[in-house]
Amino acid sequence: MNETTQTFLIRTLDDLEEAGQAGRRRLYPGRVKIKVGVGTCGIAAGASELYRALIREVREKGLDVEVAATACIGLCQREPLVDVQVPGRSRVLYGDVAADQAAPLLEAACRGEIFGGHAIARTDADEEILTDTRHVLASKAAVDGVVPFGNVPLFSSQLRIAMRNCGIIDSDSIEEYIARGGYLALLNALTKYQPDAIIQMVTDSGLRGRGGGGFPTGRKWASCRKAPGDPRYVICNADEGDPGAYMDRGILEGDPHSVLEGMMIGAYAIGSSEGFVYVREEYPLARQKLATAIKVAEQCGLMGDDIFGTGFNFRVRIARGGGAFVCGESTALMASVEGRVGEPRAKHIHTVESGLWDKPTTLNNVETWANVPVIIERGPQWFASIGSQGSKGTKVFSLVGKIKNTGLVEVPMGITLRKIIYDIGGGIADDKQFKAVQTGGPSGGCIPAEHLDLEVDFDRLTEVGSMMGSGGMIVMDEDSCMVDVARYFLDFLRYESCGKCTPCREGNQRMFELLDKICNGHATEADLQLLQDIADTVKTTSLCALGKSAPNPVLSTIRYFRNEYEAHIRDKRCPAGVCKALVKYSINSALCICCGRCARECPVKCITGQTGKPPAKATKKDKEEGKVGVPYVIDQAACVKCATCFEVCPVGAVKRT
Amino acid sequence: MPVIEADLAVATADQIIDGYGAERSSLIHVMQDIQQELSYLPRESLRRVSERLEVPLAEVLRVATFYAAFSLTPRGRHLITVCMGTACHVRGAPRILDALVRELGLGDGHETTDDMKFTVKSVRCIGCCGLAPVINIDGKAYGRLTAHRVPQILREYE
Amino acid sequence: MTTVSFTIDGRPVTCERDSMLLDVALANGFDIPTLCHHPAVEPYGACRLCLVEIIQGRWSGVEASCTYPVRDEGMVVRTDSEKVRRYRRLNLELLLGRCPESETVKEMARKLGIETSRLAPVPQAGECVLCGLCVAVCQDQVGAGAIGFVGRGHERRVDTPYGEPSDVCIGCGACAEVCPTGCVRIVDDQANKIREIAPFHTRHNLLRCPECGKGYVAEKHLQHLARRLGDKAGILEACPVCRGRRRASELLKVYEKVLNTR
Repeated sequence: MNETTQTFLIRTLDDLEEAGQAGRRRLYPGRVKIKVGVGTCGIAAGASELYRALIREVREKGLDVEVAATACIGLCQREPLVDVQVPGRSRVLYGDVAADQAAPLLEAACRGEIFGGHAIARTDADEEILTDTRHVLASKAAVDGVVPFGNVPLFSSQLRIAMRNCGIIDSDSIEEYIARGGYLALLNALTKYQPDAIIQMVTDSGLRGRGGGGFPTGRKWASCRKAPGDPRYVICNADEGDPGAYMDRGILEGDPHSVLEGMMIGAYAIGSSEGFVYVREEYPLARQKLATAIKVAEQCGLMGDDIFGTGFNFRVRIARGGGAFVCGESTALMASVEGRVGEPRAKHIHTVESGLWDKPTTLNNVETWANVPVIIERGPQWFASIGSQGSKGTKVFSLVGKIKNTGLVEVPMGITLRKIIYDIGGGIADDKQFKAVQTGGPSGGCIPAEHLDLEVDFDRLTEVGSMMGSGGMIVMDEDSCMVDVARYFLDFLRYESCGKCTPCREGNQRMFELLDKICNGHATEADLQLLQDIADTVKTTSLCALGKSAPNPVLSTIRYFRNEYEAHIRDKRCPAGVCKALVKYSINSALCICCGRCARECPVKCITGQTGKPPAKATKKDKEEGKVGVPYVIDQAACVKCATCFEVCPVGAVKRT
Repeated sequence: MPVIEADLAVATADQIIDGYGAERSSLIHVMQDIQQELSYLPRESLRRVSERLEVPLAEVLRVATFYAAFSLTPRGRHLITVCMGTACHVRGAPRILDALVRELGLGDGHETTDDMKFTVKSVRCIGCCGLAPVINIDGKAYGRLTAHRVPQILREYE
Repeated sequence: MTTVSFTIDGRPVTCERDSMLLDVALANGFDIPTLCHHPAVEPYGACRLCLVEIIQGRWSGVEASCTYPVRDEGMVVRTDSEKVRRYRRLNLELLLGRCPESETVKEMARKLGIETSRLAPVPQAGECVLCGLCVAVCQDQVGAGAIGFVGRGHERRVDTPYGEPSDVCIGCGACAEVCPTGCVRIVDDQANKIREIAPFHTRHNLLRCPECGKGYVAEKHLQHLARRLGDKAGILEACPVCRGRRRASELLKVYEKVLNTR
């Protein structure tokens, strides 16, 4: 979509500054600039069509406007998202912009006016967290009617460190990355600090792995550095298998250089000159962005031999996943890079000692790497001043599910769940009742309303029976059945288990079967006990973390929502109205307006009746003219519980019990 | 797409192996590219991979059957992936999958329609959670989906 | 060489650092049940029956001993504690659920007091407990690579490519030799001189012993051995019993000669 710009060799601080100036000219071109969010989410919502429409309009009308692309801006709920930057004025973010609105949007922009009805917020100045500077945009004060980002809790509660450039830069442009402080940390690391000093800084910052383990990053690097063996490897785990989590995709599409720079600093620290980024199969755009970033970095001399003339060499390759959740586990991931099946091994001998091809290997998550340049530039004390006692810095969460504002949010550790869900998330969609928030993916657990004031960090989440995981945060409401949620996760896990060890392979399958039995109303009390026994065995005796954490969804839902299990088992009832076998759809004939829509849409044609005037409202004339309808009735025996009638009935006459 | 001819299967494998180098660590990359090119992994391709990478065929198949991305049988002309991630699940993805299976007459374990027009696969999370539930047909994403829109979407495809 | 001293069930033992705990325990006469362990093969850690309890200071945990490298001086190992029994029992119950007909599994389960599993049996699982020993010997020891794991998770199974008779199998039967449940077995049809490696549907010509006429080795196996032994291949000229007889009669001739010359 974007051509890679002219590149030149970057060997010195002066070269870096020159590239930075080129980047600043791209970021702030001195004429109207329209930036479309064309990450995977944006594309799914129609952003490509919008982008093309804008380009066409500009060309046909000969407008002096720059049309640019960026990736994930973070407010996925409102895609397609567009930023309009008019010189001397605040930049305005618009949402829900369709391709056919390209022309009016451009007209408004060229007149310096707001495009009505779509504005979300405005930016008066761009913060550059790496250099601790501000680039002021507006010489005029307020832009009428558009609130500043700082006044919108959704945005003001956020602190973007890992996502510092996402949605701001064109991720294919290394100049724009450099303009906002990129590669300065690498230059300083290579020229001012010894490897041990780098490791000390990362340790002092308190950075803990963002992939789910929460292991202290500095300690990991220190162990790896001490381990004997050559060559040594750094790996970026971009497998991001937790369903509902896409933070890493956002960072890789939006700012791949931040990850590469972090990896290079880490490589320098542990004595490595070779790295891999293992990207899951389902992320083709992220792979493409990364490949472009690597190519451009190589062309500039920022990757390869003798980087910045310091004698430091580094090359990185992209390794591709094959569709296996278990490959997010470090030993399975390394096996996959080696071309083998992703079967984990016991980790009594750690991968920092013996990892990829039995060599010392440092594996970290995307978000972890993205934080590293900031720690080097702003210093460990600054980083440690953010967050909670045990968890320093920020965390990116994917806030999804039954919430008003779905998207990627980055917040300081220690913020409460309540703040995330209600201030940032805007509360529950359709103003329904909050029931639980699921964190940590299939390895995590469900947290109920009683813990809404929990401060979110690694340790606190574990205390309540869940875990941080990679950052997926799925909000559930009164219409979610917690037994069905547990079944969902076990369905996922039994399919993703590599099958090597008995407890995980057999246990996950059996737990799924038991949950299925419960959801279908065939289970007994003895089944619940059996479920708990199996859960205990799988948790204690599985070989790897997938198995060991697989029972968490079951255990946490039994802990907090036991009443739902009991309703399914004893009363054969699904309180949330989700489990098909325990749910009945019927039409309230008093409310039925005989429109026939349900019957038309019913995929198995099990609804009968007749269109016409509802009998209660029929006049004598209607009766004479034969225009009276017959209220519709669902044939329970044939009904497949697809809920289509429930969804399409215009007057809510379909009951779910 | 129909079954691929042996010669083409071997030639494709050779060309791709040449690109990556005939090493063990290239195995997954090679199979990914063959899959992309031919829509599945023909026997003859895998046999060629086994010969050139010097990996026993049983081991090649172990890898091919372990990773969900690979298919040993030909796929339909149009690939429909249904996201069954948590956000999509909570917003009704199972009903979308049911609707697809029903509309296309797919039975237990059958992923491809008899006329080789569609293959339906569920995947866990393509990362578009803000638009849940989402399906993807030949790379085009359909978000904010409801079950009763499924038949009309399917009619868009030849 | 660094040694580590610790205790197993109260008894002091010593071993070389990084030895696997199971090997140390077995060498010291402790009885620990296993399915996926075999001295000829690298430890795999799949069956989870060799669990032991390990106590080190305030930390205690349950670990698979076959893949646990001994490094901690003074650790306390229990091979038969309440915890160990519980988890061993539950894993056996899971295995019994998979293979209710397997005599091996039934026997191991009986020893821990389990007569039946609370779980419904898995159709078509037969007696395979997915220990991986057959795959490992064929691939790593013999080097034929005729069989492998197929699929993932609960669908995992062992098979030849596409479930068809293997063209690289040499009919050596090493897979049957290591199989702990008898699921993999050599089935010889002496009348027609056919050796089948079940359940892998692979058949071989069985060569006759020139002495007794019994089929004793698959043709491809003999060829494989001949390649490996080179000019010593003559040693395989007859079945083991007849070879023994030949050696014995040769030896007798030698003794007679020696005795007669005295």
